[in-house]
Amino acid sequence: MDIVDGLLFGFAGLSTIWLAYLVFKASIRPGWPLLLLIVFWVLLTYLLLPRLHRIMTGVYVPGYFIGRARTSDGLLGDPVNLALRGHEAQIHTAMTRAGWIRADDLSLRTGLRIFRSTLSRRSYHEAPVSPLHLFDRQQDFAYQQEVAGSPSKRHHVRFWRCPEGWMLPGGYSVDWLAAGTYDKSVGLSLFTLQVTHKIEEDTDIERDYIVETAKKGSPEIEVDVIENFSTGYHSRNGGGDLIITDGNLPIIDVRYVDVQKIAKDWGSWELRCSCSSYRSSTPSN
Amino acid sequence: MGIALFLFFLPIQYAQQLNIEGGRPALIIGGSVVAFISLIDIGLAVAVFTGRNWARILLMLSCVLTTTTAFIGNANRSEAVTLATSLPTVGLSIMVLLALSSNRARQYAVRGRHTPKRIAGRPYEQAAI
Repeated sequence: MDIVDGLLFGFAGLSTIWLAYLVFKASIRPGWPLLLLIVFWVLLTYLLLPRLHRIMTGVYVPGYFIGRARTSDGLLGDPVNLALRGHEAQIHTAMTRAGWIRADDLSLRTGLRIFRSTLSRRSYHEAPVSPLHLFDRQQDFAYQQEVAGSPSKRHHVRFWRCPEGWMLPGGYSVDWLAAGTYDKSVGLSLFTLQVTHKIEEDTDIERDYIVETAKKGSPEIEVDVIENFSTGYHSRNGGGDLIITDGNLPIIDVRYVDVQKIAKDWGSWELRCSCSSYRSSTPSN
Repeated sequence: MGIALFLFFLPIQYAQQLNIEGGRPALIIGGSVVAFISLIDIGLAVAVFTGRNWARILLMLSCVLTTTTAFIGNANRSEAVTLATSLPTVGLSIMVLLALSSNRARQYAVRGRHTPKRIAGRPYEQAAI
């Protein structure tokens, strides 16, 4: 970041502290000014605390792989609890066969659709998931499963492509990393006070569920496990929810999933599209 | 811009009631200055929208100026920042500053300024760490 940008970034954070103070001072009066407390809460949770976290975590949280994704504010997010080997199209095929639905990317259009579906109480199966960062970038794609009758509960898993030639600690070569957690309710984030999903603290249940459903959908999938990969991670995610794990890291090998054959059998347009990029990246026999 | 138009077309009798030193000519000069500044701000906003980084920096600096002036005025009690005075303007300036200084705004403004390093065999992907 350029020096000018950095200084302006910091100045904006300090100015917001002052603004929050002014709004709070204006709100502690009898009558309608009390409504300004809502403005104060919005300022505090959605502008001030994220900016302060962004500044502080930029100083003390390392940018390299430490087994945890990071939130947009730089806080430690969900634990990376899955690794995969294979092409992107093979992962899409395996997840689709396992009954998972690909989440839409977050945009103005999908944001409005979430708003509409919430108001009309209709389910939105492809609802976007919040962005989490690994390797200094947002997830490449995410899959989810809704839980019937509950908008606050869902299974979800985010995927990141590993940099070329990158290896896991210990020298294991994988193509993708993923973080799967189960949203159990809606609540307030411990760190930013924003409204967010709270996750099931035993993240191993969701990790094992993803592996099981993938294997059930595609029996040709092979799974290796690196035991005690992250045994030390008994911490909190970006929303302040506790994380408990046995530390094992399953490596799902989808390289034997025959995308072209499955796409042909299904007649799926989307899989055929994935297939064309898959064919162009694999050597012809 | 609205303030400028208001000052330009304010009927003479109301202008007299406002008891502004210098009368209507002062109003026209004041309106012209406000209109000029508004036009610059609108121009900068359009330039920011089209991804000009210099415009983003200039707009942020103008917000820094507004905020600092208000802070000093509030600190030495020459003009307290309250709801009835300049709190809405200062609040807006700080929010514009927050938005334009965010990483996403910066990425939007500097996109295409540097040619990303390509990886052999992966023509459409940027080099990762």
